[in-house]
Amino acid sequence: MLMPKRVKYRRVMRGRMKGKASRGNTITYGEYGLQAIEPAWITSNQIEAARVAMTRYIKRGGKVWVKIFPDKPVTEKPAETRMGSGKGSPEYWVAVVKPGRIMFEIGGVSEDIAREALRLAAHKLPIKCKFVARDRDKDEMGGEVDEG
Amino acid sequence: MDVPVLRVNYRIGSGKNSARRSRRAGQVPGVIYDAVKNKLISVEKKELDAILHDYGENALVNLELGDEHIKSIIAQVQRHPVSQQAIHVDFKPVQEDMRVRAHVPIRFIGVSEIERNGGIVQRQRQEIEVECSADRVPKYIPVDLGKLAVGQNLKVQDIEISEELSILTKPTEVIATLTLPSNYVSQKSIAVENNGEEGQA
Repeated sequence: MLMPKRVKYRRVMRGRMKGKASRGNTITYGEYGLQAIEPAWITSNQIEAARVAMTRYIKRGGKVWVKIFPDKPVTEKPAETRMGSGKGSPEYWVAVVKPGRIMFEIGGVSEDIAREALRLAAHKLPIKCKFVARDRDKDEMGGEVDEG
Repeated sequence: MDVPVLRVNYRIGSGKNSARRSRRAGQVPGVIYDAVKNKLISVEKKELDAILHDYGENALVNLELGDEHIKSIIAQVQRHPVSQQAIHVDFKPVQEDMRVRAHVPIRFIGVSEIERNGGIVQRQRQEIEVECSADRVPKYIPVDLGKLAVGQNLKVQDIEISEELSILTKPTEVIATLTLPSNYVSQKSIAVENNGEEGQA
C-alpha cells in the first residue's frame, strides 16, 4: 500500500478542496489517462485496487503510471469513545484529488484495452471519472463519464 | 505560407467579470501585447478553435481589429483543466521575418510498430523550444522512433529538423525512452521454463 516513508507531523488539518487541479491535469507519460471530474480524498486502498484492476486486465502488455500519492494522514477516534481528550490516531492515508487531475495513465496498449482497463479502475474510485487520450482532438470530443 | 485571418473585437472592461461575460457569449477573452498599452480583445470561440486545430498553438495569424490589421503569433493559450477548452488567448504582434521563440509539440512516429513488438515509449518531454522566423513556426516536430532499441534514449540532439529552425532546449535532454512492460517476460525465458518442465516430466 502506498504511504510516505516518514512525515514531519503525524496529524494534519483536513483542509478544503476548492477549485480545479492546477497541476497534473495533462497526460505526461502514457497515451491514455483517467481524469477526476469531482474533488475527493482517494485512499491508498482505492489506489491499489484501481492499479490491480488495470494491471490484471492489460496482463503482459503495456505500462501503468499512478500519478497520485496518498501523503495526507486521516485520523479516527476509536468507537464508543467520549468526545475530547485530544485528536484521534492516524488510521489511513489519502491523496487529495481535485477536478481535472489525471490519476492514472496507460501506455503501450490499444485504445480499446486502455478504455476498458480505466473503466474497471474507475469503478474502484469514489468519484466520477473521465477517459482522456493524449491526442487533443480526441480530448475535445470529450470522453464518456464513468461512474465511480 | 498562407496566414489565416482572425476577426477580433475590443472587449469592454477588464477582469474576471468581463472575461466571464464574453465566455458566456461564445467568445474567448484575450489580449494583444503592446509596448504602450495591451489591447483587451475577445475572439469568436469557433473561429479560434478552427485555427488552433488547423495551424497549431504557435500559428501566425492576421488579426482584424476594426480597420486595423495586426500580424501576430499566438503567444499562449490557456485551457480549462477539465474540459480542455480554450479560456484565454494571448497574441504577440510580429514582423513576418522577425525571429521568434516558440514551444513546439513533438509528434512521435512509429509508436504503433514498437508497441506491436512489445515495447513501450515513455515520453519525457512533450515539446521543445525553437527559434525561427515568425512565419516558419511548425505545427509540430515529427520524431521517428524507428531506429530506437529497447533501453535506449532519444535525446534532443538526435532530432533532425530543417536548418531554418534552431533548437534552444538543451541537446542532452531526453525526449523519450524505449522500455519494456513492467511485468514483461521474454519469449526466451518462457521457452527455457517450458523446456525445464518437459525435462522434469
